Amino acid sequence: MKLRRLLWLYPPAWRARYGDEFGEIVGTRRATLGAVIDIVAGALDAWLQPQSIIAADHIEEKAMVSTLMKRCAAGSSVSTREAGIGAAIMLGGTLALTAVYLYLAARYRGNELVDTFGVLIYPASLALAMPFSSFRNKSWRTRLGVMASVLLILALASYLAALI
Amino acid sequence: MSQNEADLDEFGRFAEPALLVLTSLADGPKHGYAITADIATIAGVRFGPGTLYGALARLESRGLIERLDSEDRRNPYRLTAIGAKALRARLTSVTAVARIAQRRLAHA
Repeated sequence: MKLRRLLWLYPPAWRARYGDEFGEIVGTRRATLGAVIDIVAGALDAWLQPQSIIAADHIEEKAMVSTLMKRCAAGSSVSTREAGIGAAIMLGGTLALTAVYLYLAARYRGNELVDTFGVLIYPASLALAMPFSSFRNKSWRTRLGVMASVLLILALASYLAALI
Repeated sequence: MSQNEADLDEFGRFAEPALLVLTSLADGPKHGYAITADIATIAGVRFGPGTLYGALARLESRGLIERLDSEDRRNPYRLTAIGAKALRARLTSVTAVARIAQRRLAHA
């Protein structure tokens, strides 16, 4: 396996800035399991915690991702009222979870669980809005089940990413 | 604790690689491969590219290092004045801990 191929796991803006030199270094490495895990973990980090140095290159990507996520949250055909409820829950959830995160981050600096929670804020708010948008026609049991499953999967994936 | 020390603390699992990158750049600019080789020499650890560039991106974003232009594909990085200050602050803190540990071990 050629390690250089793993470069495609990284965000386009990241590749534009570091891709060439990263490729040079990767080209000198043997494709061990440790090297693959390091590169995959680096790619996860680059997606989950994009650094401000590449933020300017990121604007277009973020807008696309944001639009896509909003569509996922709102579903294909929702009324204005339903879209409003979904948006209010997303916004309120984001603000509330951000306040909790800021408190925890100040109290437990550098804690991996708190970092995981910080990464989860936006996707978790989307999941909280799902019962009122995408799954609005389903029973409450289904809605709560889907929401809880999504939150659990997100939490597990983020925690594993923080551990790597 | 100074703000510069707090900057490295916020790096999470990248704090140690970042400290070693700052140390490596303290004697002059280096590109990624040279940084990895230098850290392997001075600290005996060889960071993978994912870890190295996670640390470089954080250091660059916070102005602790800066990337210099280069005509080939390997851009060198340079320690900034803020980076040098952060490195000094961190070394002072580490040295103080090492001194205490040695004193306690002497009495153990």
